[in-house]
Amino acid sequence: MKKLLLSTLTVGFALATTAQIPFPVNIDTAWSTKTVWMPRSPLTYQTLFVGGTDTVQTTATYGKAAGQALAKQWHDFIGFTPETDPVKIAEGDLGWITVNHEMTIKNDSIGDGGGMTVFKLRRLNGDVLEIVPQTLADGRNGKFFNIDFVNTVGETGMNCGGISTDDGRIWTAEEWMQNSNTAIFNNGNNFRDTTDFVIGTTTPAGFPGFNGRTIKRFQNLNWFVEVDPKSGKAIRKQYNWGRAGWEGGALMPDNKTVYLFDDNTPGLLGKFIATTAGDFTAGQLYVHGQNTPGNWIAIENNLDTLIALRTVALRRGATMFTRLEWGALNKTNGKIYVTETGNDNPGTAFKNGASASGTIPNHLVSAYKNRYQTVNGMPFPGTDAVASDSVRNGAFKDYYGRVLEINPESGEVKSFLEGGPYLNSSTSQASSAYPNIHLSNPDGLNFAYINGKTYMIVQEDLNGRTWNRMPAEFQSGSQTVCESFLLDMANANPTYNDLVRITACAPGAEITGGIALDSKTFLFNSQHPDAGNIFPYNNSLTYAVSGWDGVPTAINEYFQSTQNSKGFTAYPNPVASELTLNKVTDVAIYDMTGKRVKVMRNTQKIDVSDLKPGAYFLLNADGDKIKVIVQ
Amino acid sequence: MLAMFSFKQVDFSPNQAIVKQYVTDFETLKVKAAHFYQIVSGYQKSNEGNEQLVRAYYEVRTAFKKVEFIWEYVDPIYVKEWVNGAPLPKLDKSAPQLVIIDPKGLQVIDELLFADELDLNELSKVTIELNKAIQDYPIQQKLSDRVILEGMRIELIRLFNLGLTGFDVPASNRALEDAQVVFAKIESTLSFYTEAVQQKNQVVSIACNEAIVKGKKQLNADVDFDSFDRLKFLIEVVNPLYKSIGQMQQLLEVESIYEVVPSSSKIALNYNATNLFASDFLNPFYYVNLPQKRYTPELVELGKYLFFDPLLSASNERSCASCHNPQKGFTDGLAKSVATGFNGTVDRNSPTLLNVVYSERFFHDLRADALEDQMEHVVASDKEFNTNIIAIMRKLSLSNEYQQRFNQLFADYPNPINQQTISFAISAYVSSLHSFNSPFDHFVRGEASNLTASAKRGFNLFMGKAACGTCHFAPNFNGTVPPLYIESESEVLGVLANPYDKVLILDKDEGRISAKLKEGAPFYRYSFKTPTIRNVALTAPYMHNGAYATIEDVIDFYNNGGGLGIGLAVPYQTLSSDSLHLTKQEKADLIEFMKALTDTTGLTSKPIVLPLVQGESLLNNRKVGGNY
Repeated sequence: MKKLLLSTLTVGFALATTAQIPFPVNIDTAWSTKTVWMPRSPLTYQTLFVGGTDTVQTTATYGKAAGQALAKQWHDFIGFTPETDPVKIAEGDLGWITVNHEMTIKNDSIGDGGGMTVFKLRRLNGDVLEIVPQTLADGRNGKFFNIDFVNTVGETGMNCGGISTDDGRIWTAEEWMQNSNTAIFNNGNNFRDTTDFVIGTTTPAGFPGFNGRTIKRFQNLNWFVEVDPKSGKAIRKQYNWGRAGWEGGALMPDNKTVYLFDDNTPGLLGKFIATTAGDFTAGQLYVHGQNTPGNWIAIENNLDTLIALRTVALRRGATMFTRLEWGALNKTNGKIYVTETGNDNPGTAFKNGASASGTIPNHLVSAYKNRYQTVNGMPFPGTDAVASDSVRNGAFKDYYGRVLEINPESGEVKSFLEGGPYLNSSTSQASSAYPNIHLSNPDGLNFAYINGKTYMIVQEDLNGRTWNRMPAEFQSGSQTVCESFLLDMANANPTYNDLVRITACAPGAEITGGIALDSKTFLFNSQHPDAGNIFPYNNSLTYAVSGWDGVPTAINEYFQSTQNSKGFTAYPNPVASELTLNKVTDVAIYDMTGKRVKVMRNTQKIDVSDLKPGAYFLLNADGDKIKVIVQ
Repeated sequence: MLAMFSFKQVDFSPNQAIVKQYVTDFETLKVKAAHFYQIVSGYQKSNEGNEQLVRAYYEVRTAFKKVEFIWEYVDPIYVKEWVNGAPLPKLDKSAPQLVIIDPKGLQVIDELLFADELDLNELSKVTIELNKAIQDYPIQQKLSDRVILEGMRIELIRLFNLGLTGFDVPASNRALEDAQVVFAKIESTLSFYTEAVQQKNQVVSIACNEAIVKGKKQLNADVDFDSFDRLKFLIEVVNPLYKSIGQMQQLLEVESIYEVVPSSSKIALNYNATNLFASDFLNPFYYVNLPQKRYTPELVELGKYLFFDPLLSASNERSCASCHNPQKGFTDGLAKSVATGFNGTVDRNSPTLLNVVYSERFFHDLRADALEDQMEHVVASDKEFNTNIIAIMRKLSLSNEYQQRFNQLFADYPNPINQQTISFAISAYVSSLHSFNSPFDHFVRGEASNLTASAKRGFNLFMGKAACGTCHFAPNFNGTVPPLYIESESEVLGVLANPYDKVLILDKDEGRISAKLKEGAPFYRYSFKTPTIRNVALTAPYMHNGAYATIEDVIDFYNNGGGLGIGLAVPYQTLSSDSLHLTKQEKADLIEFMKALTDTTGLTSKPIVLPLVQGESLLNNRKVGGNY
């Protein structure tokens, strides 16, 4: 009874502050108003590689001669292999860009399954980029090349994330876990070849120690695969790193230690230490086990064990993560950061993992207790062991996820940045500052070092929009909007409040692959965007955002600078794609005739990319108005 | 000046009052869910039956039905997943591997409570989850008038399609009681706006009130599930209210969804439509990649040429029209279409293209995500076009006329003849095949008064006793699920290899399970897309394998409870194996109704000649539509 009374009171309070303001359909435009001219954005955008449109040069495959094919779509990871030849560097050559295709489809020329495309990038004056035509060692000639997997290491499936090292070595990761030949054959739609695969029968030859071993075709999927961007060929499947739903990885400065991230519930955190720096064909594999002394469980270099890595690891007590995605080394502090994207409904996943002997991670127990307190308005009424049981039984609907920090010295893993905000079940409401202040399902992660500061780039890949995690206004329409954020790493204990949303995406796109080539240029992929966008923004594409070094202050301050000032202002003006208001408010946009064209409630960002160029009026809930120019 | 400041002076209190009521209703739902959970926890099986359980369950249902119109509108995925989704297992689409989600929520409880034998363990498990899902849910406490008004309109679609058909209560037969609760909630919510609307427009206010009065009377009359007149309710209540609430939204200057969503969003439902059977009730551009702004008569014309042009196949003898003949409702009248080289057949029956666009996924096994992707499969299949897109681009480029047409329509592309533009053109033509002017449509929209009594009875059977409407959803009568129409369903029916054989066996085609890499779940074995019933009089033979020659035979198949109903083992059959107990007259009425859904007006013409090809003049001998 007490609880009900309390909530009713709060409701009354909430209502008093949120009475709705209707905006008239038409207004008189004869009123005078000021046009606030704001600085132009220093950032420039450039499209580089368009799926389904650009032609890739293919090798001779499945008995078909070398030729051309339209590039696959679903761009995901971006790798960068810097040019090292001083002559070429002087000409402006930056290096080779590799792009993953997160799909599986039959293709006579490129090869079945997923794939990867490579091209070379050069920077001209004024930060303009161009694709450099190349002739590869195998005679292929053109701008875009598919990486030949079929003739080198066997097909790949669902090329999602990967590893891009400072010295330009590239591994692509095959994420979606395959369990049978029937499934990958898929009625002939995906992989035509389901014969057994013999390691070492392709060129370059196989893998030391495993050559001659016969495995099922589906077992040749779900590995890390090293590729050579310069020759457009795969080098080897990294069998000694084990087989799992690998999404990403990160290499340490010792050039020996590599961290591996498994996208699954329960997912593994792997670590491989090479015997010799730079040679990853020999070394020791570990999986994280928080109850094991030193935190790492050794896995022997036995092919059968490696094929069944997840099963073996859980049996030995591996820590069970909730879908690890991308990770990267922060070169400034030497720690590894990885996204744990979360799971709306873990169901029996942890229970099954635990019955195999997997371990519930300490950071999930803490996160569950914190969430319980927020949702129920009181602390979790039990011991950590009880909370751990709840997590094991699927009670933690971990629908926001988090960013984890791995300490390479101790092997300890802790939550660095929790997603949120969680809401109280009876009294609170979705954040009015959404989407500016929230973090949901972090996925892509990288670091940028600009003007002496270190920034984490975090990209979302929303698992869902349920649980009232977005305000009602954002539930409408068919598309989820994934955000890209920057975090200033000078902040040792950040929360989602410290994230700065960066406007760096093509209209309507979901962002993947974010990587900083240097302090000037970031590359992003726009994955499966809406076909209603104008060409080329209606295909998966790779694009560059340049000019970061020209941002006048620290980037996070720059993006926040126009916020929370007095009066009513909008930045930038003139505007091309997105307006940022100086405060969260209800706002209506009117065209020059005074007709209402948009109404946004509780917002600070307005997408104007669909408005015809011209002048518009903005009217906010206080009756303040300004004029903006849409370019 | 006046208009500009007027919004400050109006005290817009309906919003506050409705939100307050919603929060109170939601708190009640939490109390009722907790109570039901307590009853289930303390329940001991006895001979006295489970009335106590059923009573507590009905209280949860009633409380849920009062918040449904808002809750489902602001968080549809949550409600479907945790509270009131179909009682079938499904896949976790966001998981990086095959993860099956067990069914949960009210519909599962409905089936458990009314099963022959009460499975108390299962009931207890599902109840715990339902209670937690309701207790943990943070109630929305800020709702715009847009959400409230649009939520009511969507609720009307839901009420008509999922409520009154019995979809939502698979076992308890509580459809009419639920409908009364829903309708009363709509009435009371609307009453908050009455005064403001009256001041603006008496006509709308009166129309709205009339529909409310009629609706209450019809729902509260002494009728049972089978005899409720759904056609009358649709014409006199649902459609007028759907229209009136839309008008109210405009009169009150409340923004519409189109002023609110991100510019890139596409919405399946056309909120500007005023009737559930309006020809523009659904937005075809939601379902295709083709952007609406490119849809012009010129593009449709280009698409039509391509559709009938055998140049698209390797042999230059086969076109889209080879299997989709306009004279046969865009099918070919065959059980399975002839394969290339007249060498056997393709794997399945050719579906109609009339209204085919209103679907989330394409092919009988739902393997293609968009109409444009569907074409890729046909192009590559060695039984069909047996070619590739680069070859097609080359051949089309040989024609000055095609070049000119593409150049004109796609000047913004560096190379106007490409995979995307070819698919956009064909997609534009297929999207133009709207068939919403059948005798039944005219009758429902009040444009004609001549519908036979048999067809009227047939519609009521379709949406009621015969349960057809619980899978073939109005108004397109296909598997695209209302009220948002964004998801395509497939069903396991246990279709026979040959229903005319002496020995009856299941068709061996496994359907959806082997269609998509990410959908290899056992419950998708033998699962096939639910096609539209419109124009079914033109599209015999039926089912994915074309094994059923007449509509009568198809109805008999359903009446007998599908494959399971005639004693075959069909794991995961989604069709009830019980007989529908349809009489001969009822079957005839159903057919009469389905025949009244025929409309190909203005849709069947072919190009007279195809564009000339320069250079390879032999190609100019090709026939319109090809040789198949």
